[in-house]
Amino acid sequence: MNGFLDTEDMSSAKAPLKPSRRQFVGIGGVSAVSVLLGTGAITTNTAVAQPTLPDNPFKLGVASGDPRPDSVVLWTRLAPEPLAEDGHGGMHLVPIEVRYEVSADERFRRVARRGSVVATPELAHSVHAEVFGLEPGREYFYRFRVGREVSPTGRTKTSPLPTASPSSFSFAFASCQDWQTGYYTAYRHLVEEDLDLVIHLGDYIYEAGSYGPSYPRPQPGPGTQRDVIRALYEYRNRHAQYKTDEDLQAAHAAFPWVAVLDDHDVRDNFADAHHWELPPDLFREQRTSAFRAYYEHLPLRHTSIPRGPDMRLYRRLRHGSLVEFNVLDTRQYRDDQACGDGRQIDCDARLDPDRSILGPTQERWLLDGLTASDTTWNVLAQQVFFSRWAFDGNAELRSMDAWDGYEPSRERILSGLTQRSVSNPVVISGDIHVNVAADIKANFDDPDSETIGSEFAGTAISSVGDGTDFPAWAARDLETNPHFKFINSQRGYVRCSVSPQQWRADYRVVPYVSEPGAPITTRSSFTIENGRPGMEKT
Amino acid sequence: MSSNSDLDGASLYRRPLGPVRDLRATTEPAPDLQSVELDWGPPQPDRVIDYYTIYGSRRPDFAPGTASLLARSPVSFYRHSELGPDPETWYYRVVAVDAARKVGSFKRAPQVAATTAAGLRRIPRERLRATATSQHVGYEAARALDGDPATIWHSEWQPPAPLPQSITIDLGANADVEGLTYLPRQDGNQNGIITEHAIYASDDDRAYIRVTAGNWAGDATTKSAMFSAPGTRYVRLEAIEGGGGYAAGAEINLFGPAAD
Repeated sequence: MNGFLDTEDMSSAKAPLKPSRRQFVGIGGVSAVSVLLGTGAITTNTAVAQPTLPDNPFKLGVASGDPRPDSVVLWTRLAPEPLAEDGHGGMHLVPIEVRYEVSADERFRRVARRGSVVATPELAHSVHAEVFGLEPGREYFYRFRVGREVSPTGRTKTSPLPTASPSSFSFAFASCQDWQTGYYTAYRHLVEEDLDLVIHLGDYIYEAGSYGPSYPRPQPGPGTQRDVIRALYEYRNRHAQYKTDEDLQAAHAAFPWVAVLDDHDVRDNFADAHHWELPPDLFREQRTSAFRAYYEHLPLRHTSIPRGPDMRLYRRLRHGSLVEFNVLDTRQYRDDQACGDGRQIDCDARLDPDRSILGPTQERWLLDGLTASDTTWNVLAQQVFFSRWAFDGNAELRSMDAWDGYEPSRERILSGLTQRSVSNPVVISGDIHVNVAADIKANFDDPDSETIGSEFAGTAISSVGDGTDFPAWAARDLETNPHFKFINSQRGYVRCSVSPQQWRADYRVVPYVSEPGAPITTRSSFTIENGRPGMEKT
Repeated sequence: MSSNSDLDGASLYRRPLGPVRDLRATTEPAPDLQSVELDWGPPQPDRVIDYYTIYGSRRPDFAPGTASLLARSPVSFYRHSELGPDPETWYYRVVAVDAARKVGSFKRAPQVAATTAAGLRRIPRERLRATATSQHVGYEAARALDGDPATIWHSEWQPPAPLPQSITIDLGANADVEGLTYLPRQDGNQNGIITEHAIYASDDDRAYIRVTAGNWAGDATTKSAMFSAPGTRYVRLEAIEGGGGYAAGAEINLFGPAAD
């Protein structure tokens, strides 16, 4: 099948992305028509143009994503009854026409593009309108209409031309928004930031049942923590539950997002088709449902549409000649965790060079792209902690789930970064629910070895609750890991301001999430100078 | 943008959803209560399935309804458990529901049947005594025989005694033993849940013969083993691997041949 998921499309952030009908029809079976309808590439005579809906269908809000110089993807999902038991949001099971407008102004007096897409029941009436013909580096406003109902207005922004030299670029990255452990106060503050982009590094939903009455936000529906979701309608309703949060909706409506998933979007610490609860062929079926619901609820382009248990999420985005983001997927292709997962000492298998956290295809794609890159800053945007992290004061105690559990994978990236002279490598990560800033060393076992890049690990939006600024273990871990510059165990997100001369990371934290209304402060800031690896605390 | 009404008809999800494929029902004899495992293939490889509805009845000519609705399954496998101990015959149909909420036809769904074995006779607990190669104070071997799932045997953890460790049950007199059930701890903690195991039998507490070995899943459900140990006085469960590197158990039961 040529053309549809061509590596050429994904490997170059400059290649045209507009889907052609010929490319789609070549897929065969797999909801090819639904995809075409949902992205606006074709229309249909049988979609209902003026449906009678029971209520406002835009209760999950709007979103935009994957900005390029001439296009952006616009998302919404029709759900007048977001948590309807069958997972279809209270919709009748027929295709519905949804119209959209993209305007240069907030009042929609200067409409740049308008069109329609078709929401189908097989995609839970979600739409992913890929709008082309936009101008680079420009703010736009968008909204959807169904019948007489109008959605909230969203704001988005295209990226500059690939050859442009922007003088500044601001983005924030976030992860780990466990509903039950607290409020999304961090997102409420994020809306007030002046950003070009938001990147989400995974754990957008959490798949377990209720943790119990002592948690700040009860999860609707019955169940105990062990009532893990597995079926498509359950994942759809979990996503819908999360999207009813006003702060999350506002964060989506304010900026374009780039999203990639992590383990809790499917099942805790899954590794490709491995999870101890199910044999691989059955776990793939659960993964199929989880991936499907993830695509249905995030502003992803057609290139990320899942095909059975597979979903192409790793991709590249540029911001002019200033930054190139390599968005990675360290879950879908990784080998099973070594030595029974968790934190282990003396685990030989983690040093096996045949094991990989990216999988050989993605690893090759990453290194080839880094080699070819001409941008000032080169980012690895990915899920789990990248640098060495020795726990509990024990130099040998490492996480089998993070890159420490796949050390040769990391070695290959580190030698790639040095041998190919990649300009200003920066790794951003999530997963661990704490803030960490660290120098990436050529050899982590030698603290005096060369610093070749920087890692900014961002804390959770809400997992695992309020937290504290500097717990006892943090002081110990700073000592055992001399390449660490900073640890904080509160909730929040990281804001980055990038110019040709400097990269600045601000760790934004809230003092609590167990109640709404917390203020936000910058706990620490770090800068990197262009051409001089290593961060300075400001 | 072009209009393509011819493609509507081709849209996968506007067409009826076919039956599941290759539905099988299998049952293996277990010491106590029995189970039937159903597995099957999805109706069509390209169509995303939301869940499967499992129907079952003691009668072959049954209709879909609340009485015959056993469960919904998110994946193409279902275990129908807690059956018996008398033999039972069950008839099953599985119907798929797809991502567009198209439901397969019950009438055209294939039907399979399975008959469970008779359960064995449980050897009364009062006659049994247990010892272990390793135990922690308050978590002695006897706790695995006291009929209370909240009390457990647990190998020593201060300091941790490395596996393998074992628990040996003295029946007090020679008997024919044909099965063992192992109930792991029920408190949500994975430490000590026995996975890789071996079972030995002896009539003199000196020479032990291995009667079976295997791997149990690392979850808290009841596990079982069937074997042949005629004229046995001692039965030993050896934990070769267990959660966290420990061995623990809430309840162990032994079974002899069913009474005539």
